[in-house]
This record gives sequence, structure tokens and C-alpha cells, in this order.
Amino acid sequence: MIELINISKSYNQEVNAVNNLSLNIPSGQITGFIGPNGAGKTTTLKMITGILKQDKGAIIVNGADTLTEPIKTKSQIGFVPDSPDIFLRLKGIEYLNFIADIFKVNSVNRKRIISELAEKFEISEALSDKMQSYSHGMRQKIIIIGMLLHSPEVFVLDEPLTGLDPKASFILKELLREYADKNKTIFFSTHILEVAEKLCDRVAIINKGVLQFYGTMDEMKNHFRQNSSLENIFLEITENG
Amino acid sequence: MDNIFALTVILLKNSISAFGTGKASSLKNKIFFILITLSFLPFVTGIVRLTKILFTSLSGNTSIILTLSSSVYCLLILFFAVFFVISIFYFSQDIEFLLPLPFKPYEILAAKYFVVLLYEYLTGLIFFAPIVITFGFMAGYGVIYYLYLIIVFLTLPVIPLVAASLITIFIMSFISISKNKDLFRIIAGILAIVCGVGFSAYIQTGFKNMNDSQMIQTILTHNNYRLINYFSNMFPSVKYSTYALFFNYNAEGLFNLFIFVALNIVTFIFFILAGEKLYLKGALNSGISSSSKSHTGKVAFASKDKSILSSLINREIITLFRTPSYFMNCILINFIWPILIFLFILQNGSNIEKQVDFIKAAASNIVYVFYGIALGILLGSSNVIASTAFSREGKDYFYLKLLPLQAKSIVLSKIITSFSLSLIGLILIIIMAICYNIIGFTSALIIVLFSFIGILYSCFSGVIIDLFSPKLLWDNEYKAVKQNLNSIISMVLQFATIAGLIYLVQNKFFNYTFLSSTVLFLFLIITGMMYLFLSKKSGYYFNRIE
Repeated sequence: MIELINISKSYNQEVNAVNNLSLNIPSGQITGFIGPNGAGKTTTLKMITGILKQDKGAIIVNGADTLTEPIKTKSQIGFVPDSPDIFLRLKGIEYLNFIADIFKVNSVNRKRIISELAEKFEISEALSDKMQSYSHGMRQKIIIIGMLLHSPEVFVLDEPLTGLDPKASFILKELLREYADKNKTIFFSTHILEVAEKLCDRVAIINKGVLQFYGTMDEMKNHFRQNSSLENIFLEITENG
Repeated sequence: MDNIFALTVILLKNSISAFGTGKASSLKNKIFFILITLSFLPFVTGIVRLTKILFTSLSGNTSIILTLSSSVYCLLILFFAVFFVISIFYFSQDIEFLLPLPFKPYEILAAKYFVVLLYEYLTGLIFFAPIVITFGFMAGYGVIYYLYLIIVFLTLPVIPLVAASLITIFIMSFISISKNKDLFRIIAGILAIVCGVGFSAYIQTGFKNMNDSQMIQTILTHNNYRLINYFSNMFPSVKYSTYALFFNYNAEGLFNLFIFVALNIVTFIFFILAGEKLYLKGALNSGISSSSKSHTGKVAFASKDKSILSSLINREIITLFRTPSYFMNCILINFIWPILIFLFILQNGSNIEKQVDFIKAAASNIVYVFYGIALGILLGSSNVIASTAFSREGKDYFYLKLLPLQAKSIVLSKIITSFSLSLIGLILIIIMAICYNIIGFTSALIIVLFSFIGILYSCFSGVIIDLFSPKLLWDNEYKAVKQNLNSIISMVLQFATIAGLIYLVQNKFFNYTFLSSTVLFLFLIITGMMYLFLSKKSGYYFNRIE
């Protein structure tokens, strides 16, 4: 599970990107993180993964503090960043081998996992091409395979469905559900409310760096108007926030 | 016209902002420009002095100075423009955003042309302006000369730049470069370097025996202006600019200026008309992703597990070899020193023994300690692998941060890569030096041994400089290695160290045994301290950047 305890983050001590955010993201469930552009979603996810350091508060990933035990927390996390334009000079397979080396996935397992996932995401043919020649969606697929390669305990995904074709989106959603059922922690941000509504067990809504709502889908519908769509609730929360 | 102007300004701003924005960057920019200006001062001073000597020596024939300087300037433009044109016309990442906007192709073409032109003026300020200003001063010309000079200065690069642009546009529109974009850049780069080295070798052969102004005069007056004719034939318009400047005091000057400006305008119009048809085709080609190409490569699954360190080194080396800008500035440069030595050997042929007397003069092996360290520093710093180690990562830097890696491992991978690649140059130089009997085997061994210390010193200091403030925001890899203050600071520091070592050897303040022991001790201490610093503090500095 991921525990965010009163975390705050400001840029240049001026803009408060995240303000005193506390969240308990349980394992075995899919938690969606939604909010308008600039709400603080990516900043929060980057703090969890260790790219950014929070100004205040603590982040605990499966019992390990991200600041004091960074290697331990990072080893447990599989992250999909908001932009898949990374390590573009490497070939798809080179990138995956690199990730496997870093996460110490042995050569037998990595071959099996890469073959299976590449087949699933229909990218086997392109593995020996440089990632620079890939489309946005293909890059996204490789990053997702890289994330799944070491079977992490915690999944942190920033807009993972952007650029994916419908089939790949479907497969990813299925996989996320499968991993949640195996008691893994899934935390992902999305703009697509329909996806959040259908896929998530819990939703956290953030606006201007402040948490507006956190609970199960049912709790949210009870809390707001019954039978109202997530879209209406989202608009109501963010406009009032 | 408004569109062209607006686009030029935007492209230029985008290009300049690569140096960074914000207060800290503004200070860095100032330091950068001051350093750049200072580094060119000795060159400019030398050129001014040479112009004065030539002017005095060539009384009655001084127009040769104008012809020669204009022609060499045009040749320099032609040489540099190929790089700029490929980079700005085709591989800058703005092209994909500009093509869908309602600009006419000729407007994009003209704006990009003007950006390159402005860059070329900088070359002109360093090389051409000092000569022609000194010339005007020596000849005692009035205001008209300087007015003409401004016009000539602004228009002289037009024709060579058009030539370079048209050649590039022509090649780009017919070669399917989308699939082999990187390979094309690497080959173009190697060709350009070969041409550059070949050209300087040619010039050096021509002036082999030229040691002082007397000799220069002899070459110019007794060799039937071979070189001048050669240059003038290459750029015929230079004749008109020379006459315009030389006869600035009468109607002939004005007449030639008109012809010169008219020629440039016609050439530019021709370029726009011809380029417009071909440019878009090539530019569109270069923007196409090759995702639809056939995938024939065999998937190389790793047959055995690699350690984290070797995996990091592997990634470093792949990136250095596959990224054209990195390949040119970090890899290819390792071969330049050996090539220069090879050219030196070729030119001196059987006289080699005599020519290397300066090396053998202090035939004591102890002196080779200094040579070794200095050579190591030269090789380790000139390839900028260490001093751009983190800057080259760009956005990938932040991705590295989320991997479960000790910053120490990342730093170590960068130092090992930089050290190993610097060894290429060292090995080639030593093999050549032994084969041509420049040094003996024992001396070679001493040099190799001590150059390790020099290479380590430059690698450690380079990595530390870049770790403090890496330049991570760039839109083109070229900017990470070429427009990077860190590599300049590192080079200034390393070259100052080399100069210090040479100074110590030449002045023999103490006996060599004492001196070499002290220098060696100092280098070992400094390198050891840098190693300790990196072991203890690299994590802090690596994670500090967000």
C-alpha cells in the first residue's frame, strides 16, 4: 500500500502544487487519481516514485519511507510516466533488457515475460527497432512492458491510456484488474472519467493541490447526488474547489 | 515579409533559449559569452597582427589581403553551413510544428536561412571583421570604406550559404533520409571532418616552409598567387566586394558594390525559387516516423544477466555511438589527435628525427611523467564525455532518478565510459609514436602509465563540474554537447593545467626528480579527493535536481 502523510510540494517556494495531501492507497484495489490540468496529479505521482522530493510530510510504500529507503521503495514500484519519450536511442529490446538488468530479472524470466507481453501488445515485430522510430502508442506499450517486467508490488501510472489503441487499452485495463486481484497496489491518474468510473474501486479527486474527495465509487455517489455521473460530480467538485 | 521576420525572430529565440532561462541561467549565459569572447581574443589579436605585417610587406599589392580574407571567410561559411543547414533546416524539432501552420514554404525556408545567416555573422565577427577593419585602418580609409564594409559584411555570406543550403536541400530531397536520419548525419559529419583535416593538411603542405612574414610575402608574390587564384575562382563574387572596398574612394568602388549586392540579391531569389520546390519534400520526409517500415531485425534477448554497472555502461556507449551529435563530439574527436600526429609524421617524412628533437631534448624519462599526465588530460577533456555526462541525459535524467539505482553507480558508469573511450586516442597515439620511433618503448610505457592519472583527473573533474549543474533542458542533442557551459569551463580548467605542466617543465625551477614527485603527489591527492567527493556526495547532488 501507499501512504501519503500530509505531503506538500511547492515550486520555487511560490506555487503550491500539492498542499497537505494525505491518502491511504490500499493494496488489492485500483485507485484512480483524477483532477483538472495542473491539479497536482503528476507532481504527487513523481513524489511517490522519487523523481521529486516533497517539502513536507512522508510517503510510505509498503512500510518503507521514500526519503530514507529510496532504493527499497523504488524496487517495489513500476512506473509509467506521462511521456513515453525516454531512452529513445535504445532499441525496444535494449530498453527492456536494461530495465531487467536494473531490476535484476534473470535472463530466462525476462525472455518469457517480454515474449508474452510483446505478443499481447502486438509489438514483438518492432522490438529490434530503435524506440525513436516508434509512434507514441508503441513507446507507451514498451514502457508498460518495462513496468510489468519485474512484477512490482506497486503500480504507479500517469495517464497510461494516452496514445494506446483500443485493444492495448483493453489489455492494460485487464492486466491492472488481474494485478489488483493478486493484492498489488494500483494507483493511476487519468483524464478519462469513463475509465475511472468503470475500472476504479476508489477515486481520489484533487484540485489546486488539495484533495477534494477520496473514497469508493459508491461512497462518492452517496456523498453527492445518487445516480449522478462521475462527470457531473467531477465538475461540481472542481468548480466549487 | 512580416511572416518571415516573425518566424526568424521566433526560431532565433528558440535557439538562444537553449542556453536556459531564468536568473541563474542569465548569469551562466553572461559567463558563457565572456568566456567565449575571451577565448577568441588571442586568435583575433593574432589575426590583427598578421594583417598589419602583411599590409606592410605587400605595399602596392594590398588588395590581396581583401581577396584572400574574403575567400577564406566564404570557404569557412561553406564548411560550417553544412552542419547548420542540416541541423536547422531538417533536424530541428520545430519542423513538425511549422509545417502544419499557414506559412508558405518559401517563408519557412527564408526564415531558417536567416537564422543560419545570423550564426555565420558570428564567424565573420571573429575572422573577417578584424582583418578588414585593420586593413581600413592601415590604409587610412574614411567613413565610406566602413559603410561599404558593413554592406559587404552583411552580404558576403549570402552566396556561400546559398551554395551550402542548395546542396543540402538537393541531397535531402532525393535521399530517403527518414529511415537513416542518424546515419546520414554521422556520415555527413565524418565527411566534413575529413574535408576539414584534408583542407588544413593541404594548406599546411602549401605553407610547409613558411615561418615568418618574409616567407608569407615570398609565397604570395612568387607563387603566382596560386592560392589566391584558386580561392577567387571558387567564389567569383569576391572580386567585386574586394574592388568595392579597395576603390571605395571613387566611382569604380560604388559600381562594384552595386554589382556585388545585385549578384547576392539575384542568388538569394534564385535560392528561394529553387529551394521552395525541393525543401518541403525533404523536410516532410525527415519528419516521417519510420514506424511502418518492415521489421527484419532479430530480437536480441539477453543471453546472460548483466550487472547493473555493466548495463549502465552499455547504455552510455550505445547512446554515445547512436546519437550523431554525441558521436561527432565525444567519439570521433578521440581519433582527431592521432590523425593530427599522423599528418605531422607524413609531412615531415624522413626528417622526423629532427622534428621530434623537442620531445627528445630532455631525454630524461622523468620528463615523460609530465608528458604523460598532460597527454592524459588533453585526451580526457577534449572529448567532453565527462563534462557533459549528465547534460547528455536531458529528460532521461529524471527517469534515471526513479530507477532503484545508487547515484554512485550512475557516476561510476559515466567515469568508466569516459575513461575507456579516452584510451582509444591514447593507444593510437602511442602505437604511432613507437612505430615511427618518436619515443622508445620504456618512455611509451611511462607515458601510458601517467596518462592514466591525467585521464582520471580530467574525467573526475569533468563529471563533478557537470554534476553540479547539468544542462538538462534542450530540444536538440547538439545543444547538450556544443552549447554547454560545463564543457567549456572544464576545458579551460584542463588546458590551464596542461599549460601549467608545460611551464614547469620548460622553466626547470627545481630538479626534475623533485618536481615530478611533487606533481605526481599533487595529482594523486587531487584525484583521490575528487573520488572521495563523488563517492560521498554524488547522491546528494544527483537527487538535488528536480
